[in-house]
Amino acid sequence: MKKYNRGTTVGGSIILLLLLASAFASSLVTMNPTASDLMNRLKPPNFSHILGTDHLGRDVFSRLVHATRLSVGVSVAALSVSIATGLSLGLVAGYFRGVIDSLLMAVINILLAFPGMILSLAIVGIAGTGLGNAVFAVCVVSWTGYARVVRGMTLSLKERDFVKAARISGSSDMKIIARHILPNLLTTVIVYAATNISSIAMQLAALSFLGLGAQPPAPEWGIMLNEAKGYISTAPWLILAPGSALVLMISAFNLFGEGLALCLNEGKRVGI
Amino acid sequence: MWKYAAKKTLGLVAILFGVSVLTFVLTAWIRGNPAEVVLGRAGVDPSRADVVMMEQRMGLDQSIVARYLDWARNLLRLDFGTSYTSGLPVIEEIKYRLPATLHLTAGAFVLMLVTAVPIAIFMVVKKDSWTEYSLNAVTFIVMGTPGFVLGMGLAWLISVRLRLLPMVGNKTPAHSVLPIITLALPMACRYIRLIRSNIIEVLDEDYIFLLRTRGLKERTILFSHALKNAFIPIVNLMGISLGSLLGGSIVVESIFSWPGLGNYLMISIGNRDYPVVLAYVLLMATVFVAINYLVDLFICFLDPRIPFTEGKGR
Repeated sequence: MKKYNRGTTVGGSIILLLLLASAFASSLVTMNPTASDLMNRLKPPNFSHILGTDHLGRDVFSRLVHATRLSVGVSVAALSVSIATGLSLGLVAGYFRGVIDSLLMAVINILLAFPGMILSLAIVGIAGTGLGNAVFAVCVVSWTGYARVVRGMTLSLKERDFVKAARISGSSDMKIIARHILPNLLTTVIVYAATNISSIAMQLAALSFLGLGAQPPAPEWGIMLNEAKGYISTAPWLILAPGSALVLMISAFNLFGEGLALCLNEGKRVGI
Repeated sequence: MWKYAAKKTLGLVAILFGVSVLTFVLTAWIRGNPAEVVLGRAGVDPSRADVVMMEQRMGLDQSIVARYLDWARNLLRLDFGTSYTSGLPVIEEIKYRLPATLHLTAGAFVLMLVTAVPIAIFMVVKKDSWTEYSLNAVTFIVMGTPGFVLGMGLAWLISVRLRLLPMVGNKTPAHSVLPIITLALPMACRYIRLIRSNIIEVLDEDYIFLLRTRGLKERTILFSHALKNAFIPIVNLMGISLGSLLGGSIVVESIFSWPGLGNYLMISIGNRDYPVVLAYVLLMATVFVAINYLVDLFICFLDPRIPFTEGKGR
């Protein structure tokens, strides 16, 4: 078992920087990310606007930095909801079996029959656009992975001697789950989450890009790219900045996740 | 094996039933009253009596089970209802746009197939060289590039700066080059990495070591032994990758104004044309499930050693 992986360190540092940027966005940049200045529309990068201005004369750098809040923050929120749902349902189904288990597996198998992006698009398309619905849609798609992994592991952990011993010595079901089963699957869940967050971030950005997620004028990388779509030939810097930011974030998540899986020897179990 | 096939077929039917139920459940999220949505499209503020009449015409006054059965019965006759916007049967609208999307996804699938496997093998052959390191870095970055970023980047570089290819529409074959590359590339990179590590893993196995001790050439081992055993995960991946291709096609069609189903879906979502959205989701899920069913059967014929108990991962 390798304890150290350069990818995890590099990816982790980038993620940390992004989190710091989102926490201190307003002190990092002084310019208002939503203040338009129609006299200075579509200006290429210069001294007062280091990444130029967009079609409404808003400062791209300021929008970029403020966007970390929505782009990173919302991904983390969607990830947390997915983990919480998948973990609790997976534990209950795997431990108690019975009707709950069959029902859960049926729902999961049906959800897995839909290509992920298409299901989330349909949910947002029908429930209405907006950040809340986008997060909900992405969670509907991604919780199933956690539930499957957790359920499978609970099934096998339940048969292990230390769980049997705990049961014989009179521990309650709740205590067995909390003290004996949960700690043994946390590593796997963490590794799965680390590899899953990049696809969550990618889906949320795609929904915003298609105009279904976060709504303008909020600064968000997907929205910035959507707005830049009409200016590919005249203002390519509008694509470069948020595009690189997205690639940086997703690659950092990928580096971190892959590295963590290698370090903790969990690659096989989460399917990398 | 036949027992397995029969079991799989039963599973397929059950899943398709589940898919139809879930799609129907989605309608519960429609904001407001669908009858009002239809009437509101005409531009007039509908009176209470109009809404009630429309509800009756659309069958909204019946119980949910009756409505589902009615809807499902129509589905079996490929009747997805009529589009709120055009008033034409949804199936006609879909048929009209399907070829463009098929062209895009099939092109991307073929491109993915013909690039991923050779490049992965090349990386294994060149293991621990600078060529491999740089390919590793490039595939890693492209894998983390969302389709819309890659598409807009390529459009700027190839169409705007170099003026090599046209950007929007699908008039000539040249129009399809950029959308197909955009759709195929990120996924191809993902598979290059997966196939590469798969082959390397097989090369670590005992029987390969045995072949080496017998003095076989590295190349013979790679091509006639390792590759054969890395093949099944690849086939499995191909079926699963179809889902990402179908999802990715929506974004790509929207960037390049490709007149396919994905573009139509986005327009229909904007118009709150729910029958179209539902038909699209249902169709895509059916295709996805059916292809993966065929892949499962194919793998079963390829390698009868696989234990056929649990469903495979996604």
